Amino acid sequence: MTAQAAPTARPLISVRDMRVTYGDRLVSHLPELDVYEGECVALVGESGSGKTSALLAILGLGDFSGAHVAGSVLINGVNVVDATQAQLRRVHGTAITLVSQSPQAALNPTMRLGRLAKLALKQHGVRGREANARIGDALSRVVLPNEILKRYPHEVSGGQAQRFCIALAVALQVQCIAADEPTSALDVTVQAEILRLLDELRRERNMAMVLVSHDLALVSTLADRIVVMKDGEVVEIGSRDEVLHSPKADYTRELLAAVPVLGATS
Amino acid sequence: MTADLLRVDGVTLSYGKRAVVHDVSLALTKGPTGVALVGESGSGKTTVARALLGMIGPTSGRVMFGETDVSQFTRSERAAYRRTVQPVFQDGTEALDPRMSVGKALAEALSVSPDAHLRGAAKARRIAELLDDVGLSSGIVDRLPHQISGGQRQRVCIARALAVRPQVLLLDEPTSALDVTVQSKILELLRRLQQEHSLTYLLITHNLAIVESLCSYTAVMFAGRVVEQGPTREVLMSPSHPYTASLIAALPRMGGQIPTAVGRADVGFADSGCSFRMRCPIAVDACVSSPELASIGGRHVSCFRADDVMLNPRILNSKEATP
Amino acid sequence: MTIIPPEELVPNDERFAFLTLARGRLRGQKLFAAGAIVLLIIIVMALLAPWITPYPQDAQGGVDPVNSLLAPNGQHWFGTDQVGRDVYTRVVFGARTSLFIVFSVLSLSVLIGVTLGVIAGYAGGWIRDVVMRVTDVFLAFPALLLSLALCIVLQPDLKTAILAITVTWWPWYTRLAAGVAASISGRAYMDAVRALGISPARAVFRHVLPNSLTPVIVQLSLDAGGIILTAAALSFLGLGAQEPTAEWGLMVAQGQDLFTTAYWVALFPGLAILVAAFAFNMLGEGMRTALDPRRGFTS
Repeated sequence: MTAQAAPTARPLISVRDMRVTYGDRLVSHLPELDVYEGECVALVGESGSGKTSALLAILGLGDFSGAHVAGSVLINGVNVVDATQAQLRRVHGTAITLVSQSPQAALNPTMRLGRLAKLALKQHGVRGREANARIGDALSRVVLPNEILKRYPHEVSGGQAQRFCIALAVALQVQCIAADEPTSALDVTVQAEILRLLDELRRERNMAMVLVSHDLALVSTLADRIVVMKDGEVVEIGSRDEVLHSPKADYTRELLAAVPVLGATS
Repeated sequence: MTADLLRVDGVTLSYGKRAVVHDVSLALTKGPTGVALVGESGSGKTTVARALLGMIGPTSGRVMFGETDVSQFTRSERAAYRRTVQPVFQDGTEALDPRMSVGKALAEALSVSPDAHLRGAAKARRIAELLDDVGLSSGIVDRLPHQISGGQRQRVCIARALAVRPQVLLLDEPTSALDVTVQSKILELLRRLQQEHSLTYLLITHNLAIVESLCSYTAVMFAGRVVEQGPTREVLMSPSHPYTASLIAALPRMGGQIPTAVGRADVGFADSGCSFRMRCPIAVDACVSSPELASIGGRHVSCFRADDVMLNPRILNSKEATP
Repeated sequence: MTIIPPEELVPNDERFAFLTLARGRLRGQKLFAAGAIVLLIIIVMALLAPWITPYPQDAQGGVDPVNSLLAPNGQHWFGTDQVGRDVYTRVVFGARTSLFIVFSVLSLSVLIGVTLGVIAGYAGGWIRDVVMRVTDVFLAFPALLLSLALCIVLQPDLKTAILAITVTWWPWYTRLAAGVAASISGRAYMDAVRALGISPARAVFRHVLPNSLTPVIVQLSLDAGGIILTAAALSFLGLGAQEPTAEWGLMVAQGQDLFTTAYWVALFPGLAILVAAFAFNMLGEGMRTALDPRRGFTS
């Protein structure tokens, strides 16, 4: 695990005063967040904390279904909040991609995985032999057999689907993976493998990660920095060690105390 | 040996032609006590719960309630049995009729309980008592399920189960759908109720971390079979089956390293022999034949290499499963 | 696919349901309101018919041949028909007839259909198979033809028409109710109810039925329009309501030959059919849009 983020470089993602509102209700508010290359930042909170809305807003997807996003989210110089579709497309896939909670729901069910992969790469200008090479490499990196490309999303297991989504990110050579509860639908043993894979990739390719989860224990094994959210607001933000061992907010303490720990007797 | 309240004896359960649970034996004694049935998806643990609730009949083996076989029940015996063993399901949203208020749901449960004769003020008092027991105020009686929080819904489900004064509570993933702070409060509640009402819990879960607080005995299931069972502390602290070890290793530890995967996780079950052998990092040739559930120390394990695992758990690391 | 369509990104829980629900609800409510207002007007007019029409006797057998085929004027807003009856009065009284038909057919269909369907859906197994096969047999008949046949065999009149339409209509409710009841019976709260040892009869009556009603109600309002049209068709063919009852279809039939010379005799009852059927449809569509479970809620 990288000891700390390298603040010398420019941040990949720079969030300033980002607000997601629905009608007159503030759903999520991120005053300031910088994500650097190679670091993993986690947004932690319970349901209704606004963490998922924040992630979607960072991806430029925050304003569907009538929600409104204000503020600035700079990714590679583009303010994702008011970017055009074309600009967004360029940001997605090169700078950032989403690995979602339910991978099978997120993949087009009528397309074979191979075709999905080719389409994704094509959208970002990678075709033909280069595309095939990248896909092949990515699959072997995530330990999936090549023949999985012939399958449909519903024909593979949850863990395999999730690995496929990660493989896409690798093939696209993204600089940052945004993961929304990437393992909550998976068995705990499969979860361990996916987490390990994400961490290895991060270190190998210096990929950044923005991770959203309600599972504080999970987050604490992966994240360099933790952002604790409650009711739409940021309650605490700090390095992993700071948040876990010397939390400043009461709510953080409450969260920490509530996590069930193996080996503790009542 | 205390008399068993409820027992499954060598039970095989099937859906249609497919057997999903093979030869499982488990005993529940009088409370306060708890048995945990731990396993991931497809392990068969929920199916065992359904058999205990009398919802499906065993293809072979018996479900015993005291001295009587559940399939031989008379009508009144079955009714009495229904009230002895009550379920609490995972998701309060699904487990409550969306059109019934909290009060009505509890009243319905009361109508089949030993308190069925209560009317008017006495009935209202009993309902208030039930709500108080689970930490809810009586002001909640008129609310509908979607008007209260997830934690409150789960408490209502527990109150409903307690209304019939059961002896056994079958808790099927009781906290999986809840936020972690709510989860800890519900676990606390369950602990208290277990002591106060001398309840026996059968806790079905995939989350090993919550097992210790409620259950003194744990059975681990994989692919429809029990692979290890014994006192909770021992099973968790020094597992002797590779699968149990992998479950424990996979649990994220607060502030710790990334959880390790033991063997390959995303591989299916083997049809013959030891069903775990395709994932197992220490499988040997002998594993093509099914290991029996053998006694070792105070537990039962079904693995030819159980001794090795218990004595030297490190052999499970570093090796990949042979494909 | 690097962008996952927003619908698939939304975590599947109630907190986000309100976002998608709101838009559907709003549109649904407008439709519903529009349909409801028109229907309310029709119903009120029908109820008050004897008092708000200038020539109530014209709907109950009276004739006035002297004033036959008068074009719409001050004393006869919609004109008069071949035997001098005030068309406006008969159209308003026709609303009574149509509403009576709709009410009767729907009540009977729901009574028979939903009861059978809920029992079949909850019980499953061979009971369900038997009920569904019987339902299929009835559904196999083209509705109008079956109604026609029945009306011909029995004495053609209003009551026969009601019976005939009901016979072809109830199976739809059985099918609908069986489907909904089956899905509800599989829900976790039904497991809990069974675990408590509550009797099947009580479980069906108290839990399955109330929760099955929403789609049935929506279907009812959508069907009402169709029933009005079917009844009008039967009367048009001479197989439903008979003289001197004021019924829209019958009136259209009586006026069809006169369409070029005295258009008003057929036009106004025809428009009434249109408006009523449309209003019911709007009501049903509005309800369905507002309650569509795909939008995250069936409250």
